[in-house]
Amino acid sequence: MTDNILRPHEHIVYTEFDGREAVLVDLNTKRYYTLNETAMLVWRALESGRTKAEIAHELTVVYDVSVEHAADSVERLLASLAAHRLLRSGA
Amino acid sequence: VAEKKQFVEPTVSVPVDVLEATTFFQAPTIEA
Repeated sequence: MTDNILRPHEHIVYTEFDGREAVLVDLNTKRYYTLNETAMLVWRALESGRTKAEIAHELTVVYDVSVEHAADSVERLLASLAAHRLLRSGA
Repeated sequence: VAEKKQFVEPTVSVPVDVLEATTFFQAPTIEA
């Protein structure tokens, strides 16, 4: 897993609903996306500047999942978020 | 000590156009 750090774009507004679901609104494209509970944890970790490996580890702490499985899941989600141009590379 | 939650794959939905999803308010009117 390459560990270049990704960050949410500044024009993305993140709002949580009752801790189970969140919405991302892209102020540039005027589109919104829904995140499930697990994806919320990933998004918050990205906002905190964590690496992919750190996020995968955090998932294993909260959820019953192996670190390998968590790492694959994080990789897939980040690819999807990046495809929608919701993330940028950060140092 | 702490039961771990069942893991659900993290997902992001398909994009929805905000304007399409918005129903704009129209003032109620009555015509004579």
